Amino acid sequence: MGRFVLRRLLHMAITFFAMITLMFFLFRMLPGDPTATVISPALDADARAAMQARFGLDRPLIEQYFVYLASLARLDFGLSFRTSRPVWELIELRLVNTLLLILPSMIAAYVIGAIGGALMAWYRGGRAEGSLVLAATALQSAPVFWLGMLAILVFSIWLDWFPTGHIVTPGRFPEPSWRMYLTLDFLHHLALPFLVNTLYNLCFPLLLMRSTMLSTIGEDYVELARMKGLRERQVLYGHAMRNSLLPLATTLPMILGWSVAGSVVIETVFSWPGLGLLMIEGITRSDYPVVQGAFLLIAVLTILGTFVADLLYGLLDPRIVYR
Amino acid sequence: MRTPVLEIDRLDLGYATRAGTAAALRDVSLSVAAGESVGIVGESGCGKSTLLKAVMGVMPPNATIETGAIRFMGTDLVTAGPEVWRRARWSGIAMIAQSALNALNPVKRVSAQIAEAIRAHEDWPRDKLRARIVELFEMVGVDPARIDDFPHQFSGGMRQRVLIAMALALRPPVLLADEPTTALDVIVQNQIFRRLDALRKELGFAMLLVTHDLGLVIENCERIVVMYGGMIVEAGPTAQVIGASGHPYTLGLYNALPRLGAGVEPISIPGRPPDLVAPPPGCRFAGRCPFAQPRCTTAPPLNRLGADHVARCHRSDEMAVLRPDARLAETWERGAPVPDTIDTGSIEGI
Amino acid sequence: MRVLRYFVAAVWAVPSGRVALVVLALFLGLAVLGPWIAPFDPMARTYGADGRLVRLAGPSAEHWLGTTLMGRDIASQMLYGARPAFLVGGMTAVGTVLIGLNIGLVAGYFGGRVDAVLMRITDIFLGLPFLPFIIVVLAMSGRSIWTIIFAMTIVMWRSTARVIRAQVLSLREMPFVAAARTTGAGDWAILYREIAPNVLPLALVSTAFALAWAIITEASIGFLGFGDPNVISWGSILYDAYASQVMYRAPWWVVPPGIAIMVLVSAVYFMGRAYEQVINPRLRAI
Repeated sequence: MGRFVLRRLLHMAITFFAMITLMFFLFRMLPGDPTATVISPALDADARAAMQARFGLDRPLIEQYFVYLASLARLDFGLSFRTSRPVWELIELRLVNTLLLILPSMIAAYVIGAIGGALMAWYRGGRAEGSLVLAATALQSAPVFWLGMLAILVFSIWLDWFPTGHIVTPGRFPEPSWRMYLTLDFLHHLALPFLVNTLYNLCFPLLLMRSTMLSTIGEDYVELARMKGLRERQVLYGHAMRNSLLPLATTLPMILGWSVAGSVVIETVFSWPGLGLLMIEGITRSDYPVVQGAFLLIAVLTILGTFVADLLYGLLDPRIVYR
Repeated sequence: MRTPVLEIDRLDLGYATRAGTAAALRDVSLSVAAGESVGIVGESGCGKSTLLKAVMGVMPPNATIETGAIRFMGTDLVTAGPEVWRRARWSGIAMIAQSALNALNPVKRVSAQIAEAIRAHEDWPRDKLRARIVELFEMVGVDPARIDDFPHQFSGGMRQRVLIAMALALRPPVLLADEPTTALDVIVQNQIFRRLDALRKELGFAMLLVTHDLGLVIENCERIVVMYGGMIVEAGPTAQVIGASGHPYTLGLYNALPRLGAGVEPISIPGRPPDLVAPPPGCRFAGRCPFAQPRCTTAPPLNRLGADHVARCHRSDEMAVLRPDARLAETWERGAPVPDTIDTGSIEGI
Repeated sequence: MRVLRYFVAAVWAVPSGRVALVVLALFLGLAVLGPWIAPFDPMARTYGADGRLVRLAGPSAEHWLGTTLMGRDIASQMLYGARPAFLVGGMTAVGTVLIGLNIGLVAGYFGGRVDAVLMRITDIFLGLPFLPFIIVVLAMSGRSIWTIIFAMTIVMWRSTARVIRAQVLSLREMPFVAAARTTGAGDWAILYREIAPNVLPLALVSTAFALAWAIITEASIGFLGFGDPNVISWGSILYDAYASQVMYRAPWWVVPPGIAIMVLVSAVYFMGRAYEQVINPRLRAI
């Protein structure tokens, strides 16, 4: 077990290193002179050179790369071209915002999806089950940003129950701070994106759980559990559902990583100041250190998700032998 | 005569299928006395596994018991309601499942799987539970140090023993065994049956062994029940059913047994079991029976051939004459007389 | 072609698959004929009798789905938007499966070092955040339909490779492979003549799901404003609506593109699932 974890950790390190390298060179190949947005071309050559030196853009690419690696190790993502402040300062709260939206809604989606899918399989064959499968597939097929737009149209514009976007009422906190998470205003803003994201992400675990359960129900051990005189509820939760949870549980961390990556879309619709929106803003303002920082953090979460999924698979299923 | 612990009384069971209702069990009556060992034989699809599931009350959702009773210790489980039936399961009638690999939940320790069976019926403290599981492992000859292992850590034979231990957990008066050794080699199979036999004599449970292997039943059971197409075609003490068979199908099954060194080649019965959605009128075996006659298109009576020996065949009293013919391979290769001759016969009869 | 015919026949055998195929054929027809049957030039501004721009007009006999803020006909835009959905989705799905299939085949069959290296590479791609990566590539190398296809293919082949590899691992041990080896067949011949046909059903399922995912992603890219500026897609219609800030006064502008995507992608999902049921009867609900 220890060796297995160590190996997976090593793999993760390699993946991460490759990612950093790839991204570094990719960003350096971006078209246009990134310094142009902060250093006015009207400045004389000396002043421009001074600015370039300040951002370290005058040194050879390979040297920039090693400096970059060293600073990453210190969690130093460089300075924003636009604000000249450390990127990490910008990212910190954005990361919290993204996680506060994504984590609870993914957990809710998985809990509801698992139980709902199990019950659909248990009471299979009815008309209700058929319509639920159709509804879940349709929902899964709709683009999530469109669902968000419809939700805003109905619940914010027509019914006026929820605000149309942002994390708190604009102007209430001139400077983002930790205190804003403790307000009811925050929860009021969180509600709609949370609901839309939960509803959308619920479909995958729901349909997966249903199909896994359908094959588990036919297993001999489920029949034997019933023969042993267990109550139906015990057979459902203790055997059929318990065993069907395995494939589902192992997908959670990976899907979590993916949905952090996918949060770009939902954050854009609801103007939710998370990592994804930060990245989009960075691109439109050519603020590449910010884009790169946000991207790397999203990548870390994705890779971490895959890693945890691998470990979880081994932990939950005793038949897996660690190599 | 010993008192019956399990009594199946004229049971009819149907499966709803797309093509219509399949008559999976028809007029099945069977009683098992305390401590007795009874073997049910027949080809796959003859309804023997369906019968066991019906007795356990775990039929698939599309199955319904149309008429008849399943009495355990005098109580009809069919009419007594699901809770009474649930309580009777395992504590009254336990089962050794068919496939040892799939019958155990792969992600639960075997101790937990035995414990949950006990806890579904008894409120025992943890120590008593564990002590019982250790005792059970010793009883079936598995190292008690392994009670907390996972199913995949056992060999096939060991898993089967674990299943037997699980079945005996609540000292049930009736033990059902559905092909308990099909996946195992002959040596392990023998060990398991010897152990089962010893346990039966020691604990006094009645055993209902279901298998397609007539040889296994001859060796291990006091009574034989032969099933075909969802019906019992012959039943009686082993010696009489084998020595003085009253049904051509029993003869056919016996012919199909491989015998070592006897210089007799096994003969198989050509054809397939009948379609249960639209079964042939009359005797369900007639389509494959070399001795079929025009009257076989009418339902044959259940003839009493001995004190406890019955057969469902129009010609069961002529069996003594037909038996030598039935030993010949040609007889079976010839198969059933073509329906035309049956029809002609009935016209002649008019 | 034979593969396609076999696939369609298999899907047709399942009732839900039949519906899905009909819906898909309908959309495909619209995609092909769209530019000819569209009543207006999708970019043309409509002026009323009084010479003023017909902004945000509701659905009418003339404009079935109303007009945009710039007075453009939404129905025509919808008809033009069907093409990129199929083009981008289809090419990405095919590219994804071609790469994933080959990498999965080689990794699974040769095993050992080859497998280790290919799987490490797959892991790296698995760590790439899907949408952010595509957006960065688009920002870097310009917004064109071909870049979108390229970027999506780069991040999508990874799952197909994993699934195919797992299947090849078990197929490799099958008797027919050993039999082929005894006849003196080389590794590549065994891989592509014996094993590949057996993973084809799985590859087809992968293609269907890749197609569904690619259509949604293409729309998301359009919505984020990174779509090809010269192409009208359902995603870009939604982007225009969103960016106009007035979309909430014009539901007819917002609803149709989403419905179109939802119905098309649902049909693709149902087609994939129907085919899965055919090749794996265990999935069939009782």
